Amino acid sequence: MNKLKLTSVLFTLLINFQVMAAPVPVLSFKAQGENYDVDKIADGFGSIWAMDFLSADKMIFNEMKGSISTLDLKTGVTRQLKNAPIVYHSGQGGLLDVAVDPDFAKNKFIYVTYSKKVGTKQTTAMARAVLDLATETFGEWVDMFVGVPASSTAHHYGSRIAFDYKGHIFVSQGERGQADLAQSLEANNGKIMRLNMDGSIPSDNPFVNFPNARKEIWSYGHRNPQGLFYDRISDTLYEQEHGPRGGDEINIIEKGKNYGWPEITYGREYSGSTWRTGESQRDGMVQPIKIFTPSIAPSGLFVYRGETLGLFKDKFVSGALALEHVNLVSVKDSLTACEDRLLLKLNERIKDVVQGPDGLVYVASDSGRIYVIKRGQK
Amino acid sequence: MKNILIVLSLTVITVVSCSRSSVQVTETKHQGIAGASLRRPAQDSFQSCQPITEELLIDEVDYANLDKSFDNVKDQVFKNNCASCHFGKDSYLPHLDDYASTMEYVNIQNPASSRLLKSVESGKMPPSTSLSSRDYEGMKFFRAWIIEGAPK
Repeated sequence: MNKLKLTSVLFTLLINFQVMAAPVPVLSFKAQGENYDVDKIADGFGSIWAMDFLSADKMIFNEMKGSISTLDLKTGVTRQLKNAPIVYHSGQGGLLDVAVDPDFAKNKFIYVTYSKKVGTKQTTAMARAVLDLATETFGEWVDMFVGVPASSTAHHYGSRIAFDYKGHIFVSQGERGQADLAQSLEANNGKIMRLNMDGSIPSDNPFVNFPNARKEIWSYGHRNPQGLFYDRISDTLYEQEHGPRGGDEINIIEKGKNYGWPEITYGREYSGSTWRTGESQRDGMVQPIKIFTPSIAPSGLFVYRGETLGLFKDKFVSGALALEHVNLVSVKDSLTACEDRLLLKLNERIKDVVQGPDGLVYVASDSGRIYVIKRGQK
Repeated sequence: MKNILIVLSLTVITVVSCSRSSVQVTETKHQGIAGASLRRPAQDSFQSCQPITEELLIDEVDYANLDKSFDNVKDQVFKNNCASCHFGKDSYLPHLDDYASTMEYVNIQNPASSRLLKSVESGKMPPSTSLSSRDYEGMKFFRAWIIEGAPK
């Protein structure tokens, strides 16, 4: 090895060493007679909004302030990627979801949702770019969806991305503090959109033939959806959204359906009085399959379909911001189900939860940490 | 109406069978989305499926015996409550991850009037109330550090 190469290797080792972190055991818990351990595998970041996997060993995650990094699950090395998208980071806005294309091995596409400045206002947008892993650099970001209208508010952006593995991509947007627009098909506020993988609008979307309707709308009447998951086992799109005060919901999302906000809700006004219509049900509006009252403030959602963690099997797994835990609810029995609330002692606002290729559950926090839940040793 | 009664009946049965010490709630099946518009989920329905015992493996902070230094405030308070917006060189917000930047918001002559302290005690920061309520001890430690003149 010549001197130049040796220097290069030493430099690389030095850089990697600076960002390498060994797993730190932080919590153990016992349930159903089985032990589980929780390790902290990354720390020192800003608020982490989302995680996904590039490969069996490599995670991609973002920070709300606008950076995207990778985490090598074998070495603990984190690397910040270059040319992250420019986002409007204020209030609840910033870099939101990050998602790896199902065909990433071939096309290298990474998708993000983010808060986008439009003139003096802002909105929810989704963009994608090619990620060159060799140079750790994104190519040009191209917007695939930009919510209409933009708003001067700084909250309720949503947003999550889900793929149906049949050529479509779903993206959720919150109502941006303009509740009534959730019922208008002329606005993207409070909607779930469905696009083809190239960003075009599918011809079988429910409102393509409605005059003035946004053709990308798949469902409407949502408040602030921060959980969206397509379950390939049941061929079902699940969504989770924040209620006003109580009334957080998990919904089964179906084509063209109205989920009721702000006409019906199980939440209340922040003053404590009944919500303005006083209604929680109405014909033609879909009921949730799970409500959380009082609110847990859910963020991140998936259905655990692995075998590694028995406690999680066939359950909704979601993060809780306000009540600071990882929430488990049986999919089969969600209507009446009891819940498991995990990681309470960490006192962490949970921003995202994902199932890894290894069958373990990864948890990201508002305080910039990533944890992994695994089977216990003792 | 028949479907509604069936669903309500199943709901009652399973609510009764879901106790705090049991996970034996296995008989109810979702009725599918058809007819879902009139199903009523249980409200105020949190019930733990089973006892779960958690053991924290990291030490909780002993603020009483912690030196009132910037490093300790940064590591124990700022890191848990402020890092998401105020750590990192690319942030346009006040930087709380180094001493000099932090001191721009501290009034050494009159620590109690420091902008940094006022923003916390007014409830403005952290913007989420759940954060400040959760780390009440940390906030007390932070206040004591400021009042002592924010030593390095």
